[in-house]
Amino acid sequence: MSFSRWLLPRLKQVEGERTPRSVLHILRGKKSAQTFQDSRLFHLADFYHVLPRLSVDAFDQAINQLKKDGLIEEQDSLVVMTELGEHFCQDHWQLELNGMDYGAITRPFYIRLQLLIQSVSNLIHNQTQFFPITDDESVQASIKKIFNDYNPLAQNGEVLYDELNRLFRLLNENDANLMMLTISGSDQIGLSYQQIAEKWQMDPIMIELSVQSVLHQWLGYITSNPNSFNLIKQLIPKQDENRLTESALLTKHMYNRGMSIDQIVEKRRLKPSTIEDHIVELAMKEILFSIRKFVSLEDEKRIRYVLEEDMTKRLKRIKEQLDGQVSYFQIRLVIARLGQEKEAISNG
Amino acid sequence: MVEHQLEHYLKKYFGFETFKVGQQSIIESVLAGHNTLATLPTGSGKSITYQLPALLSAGITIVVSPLLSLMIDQVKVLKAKGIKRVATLTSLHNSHQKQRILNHLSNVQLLYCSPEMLQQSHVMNYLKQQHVNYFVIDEAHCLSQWGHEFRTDYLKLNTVHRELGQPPLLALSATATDEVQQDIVNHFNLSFEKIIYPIDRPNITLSVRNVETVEEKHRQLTKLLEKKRMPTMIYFSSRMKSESVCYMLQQQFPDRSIAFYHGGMESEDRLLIQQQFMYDQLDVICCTSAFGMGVDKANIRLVIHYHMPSDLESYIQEIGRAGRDGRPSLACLLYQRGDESLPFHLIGQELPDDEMISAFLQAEDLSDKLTETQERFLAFQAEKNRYSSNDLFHIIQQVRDQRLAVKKDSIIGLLKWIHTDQCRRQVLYKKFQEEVKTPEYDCCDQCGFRVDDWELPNDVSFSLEVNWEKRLNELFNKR
Repeated sequence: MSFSRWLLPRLKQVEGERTPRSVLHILRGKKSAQTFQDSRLFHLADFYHVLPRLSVDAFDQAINQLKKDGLIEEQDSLVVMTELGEHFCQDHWQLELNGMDYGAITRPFYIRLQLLIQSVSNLIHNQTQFFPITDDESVQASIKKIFNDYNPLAQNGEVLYDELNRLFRLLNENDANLMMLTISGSDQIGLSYQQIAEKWQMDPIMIELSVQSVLHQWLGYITSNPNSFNLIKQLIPKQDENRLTESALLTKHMYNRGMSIDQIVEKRRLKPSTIEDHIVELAMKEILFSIRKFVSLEDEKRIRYVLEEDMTKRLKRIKEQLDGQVSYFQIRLVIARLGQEKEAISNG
Repeated sequence: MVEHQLEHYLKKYFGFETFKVGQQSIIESVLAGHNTLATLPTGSGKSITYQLPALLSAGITIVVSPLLSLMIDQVKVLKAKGIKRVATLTSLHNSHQKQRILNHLSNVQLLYCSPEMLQQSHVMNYLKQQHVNYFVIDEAHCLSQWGHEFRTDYLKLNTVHRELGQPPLLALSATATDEVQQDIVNHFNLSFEKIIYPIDRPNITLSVRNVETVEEKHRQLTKLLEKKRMPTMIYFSSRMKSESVCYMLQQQFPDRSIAFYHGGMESEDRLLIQQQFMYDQLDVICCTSAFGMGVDKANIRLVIHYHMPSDLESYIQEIGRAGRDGRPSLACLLYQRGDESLPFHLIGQELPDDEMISAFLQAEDLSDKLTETQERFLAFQAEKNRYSSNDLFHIIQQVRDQRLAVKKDSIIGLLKWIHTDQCRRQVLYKKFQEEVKTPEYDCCDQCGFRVDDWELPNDVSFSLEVNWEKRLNELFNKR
């Protein structure tokens, strides 16, 4: 399967409402309130931050391919499915992604895991001279600390071997082999996504997504069974506040110290709407953040009802129901007005 | 220090039993405190000649090197050997990281520096407080206008050396002609002990294949690779071409493992590819000159040039990656008439044109119009000639043209070698040494060698393990 075909069902989610690039922002995990909101609103949260290094070029190429294949169109720069596109929209490629929860920590976790395995494997084979798979000194320091604190070499690395064995057994044969090919040790050096893709005649981005999917499964499993993974769980970076934009983080600290929005506005000399953006960001990213101070339970219920109604009415369906007698432009205008009204409610 | 003592430390720090040719006499000269000018062929362990003296001394040794990647690789190699008191000081560091290194200089035995760092008075103030054992200039040919890689920022090293109290100096190069050597000596105006070792490699057979068309070039390439599975490098001057030829070869040789490598790739992918090649996991690497800086792989059997480089020095360096184990190896350059247009084009990009010079002098914003080397050249010339009464534009234009002429001559020098009907070995090294050693295997295509007859034992194979469970057991040494 090509990346472009995999992208198709994601594009359908934002059909008639967003540009194709909005999906790029989601995949790359752009830290903006807009992108966060989009990933929730269009049920794309699982894909948030799963391809942090995806290039604009590669993405545009996939979009152009879909257009060339007659699967999507752009109308007033919004993405729209063609009939053929609708037909191909089933998700045949089962990935178990959970980008909203793990997107931000996947990469550091993965690099640390690779370096730990490489180091343990080499040292078990008495090879003290090897080149670490990463030049990043902070990663090297974190692994050095693990060696000091947990002695992963004890009993020829039995603990790590056992934990890895259990993690790999969670996977299907294909994914397990794929994942292992990316790992470096004393016997062989890991392959790049590009190389695996060449070997298996696949799209390198799909290889990257498969690896992400494996890592998300593992992260989910380790965090729900922490006592079974005493060594590997140490590699998981703390889910700290680094997912918030810096400015939102500052607002959060002030808010937690009991300041009101007005007080924060005055102190930070920012527009009220900016601080409200931060509060929205907090509400989206932090499950424990209570919005009750701003929205009563009753209001929340009413808003949810309208929103959910609205969500089911995707652009195309609206057009169909109107027997195609109105243009997308007209529908969009009305939706835009509706959106404004929604915002007015939540701000009010 | 007596011989066996030096060898003891060689073993202790680097794990080698004996010195390679030339290393010991250079080290002894350095330890005796002589200013030393030395040449050693690529791949013969030049860096040990200053690393070992640095480790045996109490103060700090400063190494000036023109290439960031080179310094980073060197430090990585040292750290892998357990030698930790080394650091780099380059433009890659932010001011915070830089300050941290400067604050801890007393813990550093070996400091790799880019030349522009030594122009900063802040940095120099810290260095002046240290006891500098040795001042080492790597790739010292960069000091010379006649060198193939002349670097303007090398031209202030004499001042730096004086400010540091003139510690013993070691100037190293793999390729320094008489002219270049003289330039180096003149620059410092000091007496030097010269230790010049011949740089020819008697175990490498040289050959050139003239082709008429691209298709024929590809056919020749295929013929070379068909012979045997062996560690092979193919050099390109273009990133795109290295990729496209790599894909073509993958199609033709599905059972070989072939990859490309160039400066445009993610650094982690570059590390993987480089290490795979070291592990014999890759058979063929299609690369640009970005590859191979710190690569010390002993069993490279074949170095092919798909594109010609821009001078004899680069060619000597690049084929010098072959056969470091001393076993028979082949260097083959594929030449199609007109190939020289690429290096001619590339040197044009290194130096500013007239329009750029005048725009620069009128202080126009050129930030995204100049390449890094163009900008450095202009900044240096403008500063150097600040007080000149003559027209600055014409002075810079003149220097540019002179430099361009040197570069063009270098390309022509390589072209002459390609077209020569004399022994390739004699012609290739003529500029650098009086005579060449007797080749240990075939000499070159002008001396009767036929590429088609070349035979080598099939000595390298690697089979990739794909099954995860077997791999996991191998990783942990379980059977």
